[in-house]
Amino acid sequence: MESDMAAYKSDFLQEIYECLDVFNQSFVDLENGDAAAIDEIFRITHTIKGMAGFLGYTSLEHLCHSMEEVLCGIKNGDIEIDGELVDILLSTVDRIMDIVKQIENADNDSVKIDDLLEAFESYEKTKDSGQEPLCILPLENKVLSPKIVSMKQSEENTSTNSECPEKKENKKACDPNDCNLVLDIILANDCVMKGLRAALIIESLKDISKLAKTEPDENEMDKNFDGHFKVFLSGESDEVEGLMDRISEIEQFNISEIKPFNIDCNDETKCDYSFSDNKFNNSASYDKFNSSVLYDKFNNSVSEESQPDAPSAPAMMSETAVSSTNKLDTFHSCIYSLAARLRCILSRISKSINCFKITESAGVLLKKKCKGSSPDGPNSQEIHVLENDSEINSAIPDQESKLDENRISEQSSKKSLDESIPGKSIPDQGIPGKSIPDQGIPDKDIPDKDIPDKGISDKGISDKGISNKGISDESIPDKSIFDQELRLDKIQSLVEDSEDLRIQGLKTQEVPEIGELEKGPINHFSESVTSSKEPLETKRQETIRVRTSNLDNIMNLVGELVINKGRLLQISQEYNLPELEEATGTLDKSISSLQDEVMRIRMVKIERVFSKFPRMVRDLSRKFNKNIEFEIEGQDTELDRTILDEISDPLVHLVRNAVDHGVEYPDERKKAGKSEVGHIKLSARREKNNVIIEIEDDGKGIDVEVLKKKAVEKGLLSSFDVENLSEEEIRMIIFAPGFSTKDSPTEISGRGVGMDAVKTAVEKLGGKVRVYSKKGEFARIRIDLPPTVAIIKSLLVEVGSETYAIPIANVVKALSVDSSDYKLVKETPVLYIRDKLIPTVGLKELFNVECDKLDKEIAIIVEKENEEIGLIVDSIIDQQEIVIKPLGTTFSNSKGFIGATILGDGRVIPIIDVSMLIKGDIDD
Amino acid sequence: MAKVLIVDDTAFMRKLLKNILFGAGFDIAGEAENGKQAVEMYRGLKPDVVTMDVVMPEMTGIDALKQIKSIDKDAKVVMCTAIGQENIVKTAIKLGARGYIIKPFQAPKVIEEIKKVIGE
Repeated sequence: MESDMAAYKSDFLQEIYECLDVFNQSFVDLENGDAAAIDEIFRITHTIKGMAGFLGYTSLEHLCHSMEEVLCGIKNGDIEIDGELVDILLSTVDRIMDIVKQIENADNDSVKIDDLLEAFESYEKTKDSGQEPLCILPLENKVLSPKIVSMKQSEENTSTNSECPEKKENKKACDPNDCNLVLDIILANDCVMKGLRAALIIESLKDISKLAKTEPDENEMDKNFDGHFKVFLSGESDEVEGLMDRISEIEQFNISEIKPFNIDCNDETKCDYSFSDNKFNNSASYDKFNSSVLYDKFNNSVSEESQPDAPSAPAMMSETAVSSTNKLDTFHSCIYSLAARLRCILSRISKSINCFKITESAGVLLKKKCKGSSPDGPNSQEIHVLENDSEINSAIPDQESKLDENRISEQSSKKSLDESIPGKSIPDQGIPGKSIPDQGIPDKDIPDKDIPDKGISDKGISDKGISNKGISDESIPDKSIFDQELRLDKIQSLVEDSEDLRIQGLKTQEVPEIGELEKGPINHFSESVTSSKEPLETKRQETIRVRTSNLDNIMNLVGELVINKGRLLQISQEYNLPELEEATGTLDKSISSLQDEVMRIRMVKIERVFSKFPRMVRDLSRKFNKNIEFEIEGQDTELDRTILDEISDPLVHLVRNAVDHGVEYPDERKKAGKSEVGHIKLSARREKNNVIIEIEDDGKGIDVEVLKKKAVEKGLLSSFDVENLSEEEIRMIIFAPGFSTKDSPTEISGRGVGMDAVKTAVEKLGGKVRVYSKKGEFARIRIDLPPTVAIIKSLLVEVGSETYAIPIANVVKALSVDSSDYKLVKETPVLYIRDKLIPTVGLKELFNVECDKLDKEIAIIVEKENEEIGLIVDSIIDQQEIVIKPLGTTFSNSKGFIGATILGDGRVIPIIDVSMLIKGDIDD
Repeated sequence: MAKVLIVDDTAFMRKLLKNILFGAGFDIAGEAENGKQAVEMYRGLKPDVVTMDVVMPEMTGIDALKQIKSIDKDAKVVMCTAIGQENIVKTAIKLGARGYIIKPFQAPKVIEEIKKVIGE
């Protein structure tokens, strides 16, 4: 676990640094009016919060949380964004950075954050307090491509059909009197979000049962909710129990049955009763129920509801009673089979058309009939239903016509039914005549005998549910539509239960039609998806994260290959084996491609470093009250990851300098006849084998005269030098250690450390810095960097029997020298070449190589940090690309070498560290 | 063994969940960085359960949940949430999310939730 945590921590650090980079850019975007940036900022804050929470960095988590709240306010429009707020947010980002550094170095996050928390709090108060943040979702993405938008829309359309709140409202509305179960639930003590867990339980219950109410009310389960609640519902206790087992964090639950489960609400029961009482006493379904309960219910409801609400109902019922027994029998069996079909279709639909709920679609079909048959019952619900209706119809354009056809065929095939129904004068014929035949199965496909074979209980129940519908609608028109939906909910669950049995018999007829149904919405969906898929694929590039050390290993191995290839080449030449030579040539090609490829993997876009500058320039220009426009060019230029990391800080120095020393204050600029807005440009580009980074500002430029004066004052140059050096050389003095033209350093720059550090860092990477400037117009600093560090060009030199490599970046020139070129200065021999005295270091003496001193030697003049020295060697062997290998721990203390390389013949050659030689640190 | 699709925009969180779930014997069907990928991957991988972060670029977890539910209404989606996101997760539950896990993740809780959701 310990090591796991360490691994997580390193992942965390890596991720968080990336987050912070994006942060800075997003804030600048935000201030420039890009509203989408707030989403990005919010997301990142949230991400950091999550990670911090996991690793237990509480103050970081806390800080991010506060920030998140305020960001929420901004998104909701409760908090207005201004420069000051952006400053606070930015300093929070900085603080996060501090915390991260603290975590990195000391593995704790004890950084003071109180001030920021207070600042956030004051902002939070400005928004309507007491509101829980609701804005976790980003504002509707404004930057989506049109195709995606269209997909979104279609998705929204479909989702409105099944929009849950509506559905739930309908489902929830079960009369408390109809509940058969009370579910008593106590949530686990360690459940963090009890309200949410309760909501999950309640929602899940709604899928399998009808809820009457909860105690406390669902909406009251807030932060003070203790996790104990009761649900009153109508459903099957087995199902409920099964569900409870599938939800976690339930400490205990208790299901108490307050009365036997009854599929549906009272009006159905009542009607059912009326039927069964008169005609269907032999019906198997009836037996399932506790008749006394039903009877009571019937009595209650008739007396309470149907009489006042629907005065016509009693008359209707009596008519029903009058109709002949055998007609009703036929009707019943007909309804029966239709119910079976409906059930099957419903389940199919519910399976295939997942976008809208079966309850609604089926409800609508039936409701149409109700509307026709109960003219005094139109109400708001009906209107809403009709709206749904049209939506559904448009979603399934084929359905309607299909249904009509089927109806015709069915009606003709069912003469007996047709006869019986009008005879009964039940206004509900609608059901068999229209809604059920909609499903389009001729009656005979479901032989009546089929039905009793199947699960009797299910059938009976659903049968009742359906057969009663029309009748109950009549008797209680006000409630009818609403109740039908409830019933159909129930049907759906029943249908699902019995589906397996039923489908078999129906399949042959069913499938093609259902296929049609399915096609409607599903095709629609898949189309929109495919259309969105294309741009997605072209946009997204597969990436993986690779540890730099892994790449280094590969690089090393490639290096080995290069070396071995060299050996092969040497052998082939030594033994004169042209075939081997040719094979080696081929091998060479592969190896170089491999090498290039690995190099490319190591390359990172310079954007990574550049991205933090807009924010920095913004901050600095605010601080100095300067008006600066910042431009970045060539962000896509790639550099070796190692170089990029090293160059980051020097660039910060340079950009700061440009803001502080370069660009003038607006009034100064005005006086000088320039626009008040200063301009700083940071650019990167590839030039031959180098990457060039330039920072240019259109400020006051570098005044060479001032430099000269300061340089002499500080004793960095003699007055003689000053007169003889070119302007360019003088300008280079700004890189000298301790040089500063400012008398008092500002907070930002001017201590004379920065430029020196820049030069050192660049040179360490094997690069070069140059300065270009014109007084009053511009200053430009140009950095040339090798794109990679692992392989360098070097000069191989021989000293006695030893070979050394000197990085070519440091070599100025090589000369053949003899004793006449030396002059003694203070008894030390110094090369005197073209009026210049150059100190020398004899590698022979330095490295104690024992051999004779030659008459003619070679002086390799190397330069580092503006100093030149001559390295005296015997001869130059070759100029060659070499792979730098670290010296490893054993030799890590040895000075004078930056590493070693292996030559083609297998010899290990040290690479000389020129700067060490110049500094003379090597003596000990 | 049940296949899990992990959806989170943070590599860190994905790794975390992966380790927790893998350690508990689940198969990791795949990892998606945003909602859009998640929907696509859901279609292809048909995982048994999806852990879905809420706040993600490109497409949020809520939108992805809606779409996954429209592909497969029985999809088992577990939301990843944090303190302060209760309401949004409530919405997710109404849209058919089967459970939720809370950041910072506690391995036993995560495992319990996932196991319950897939009915183990």
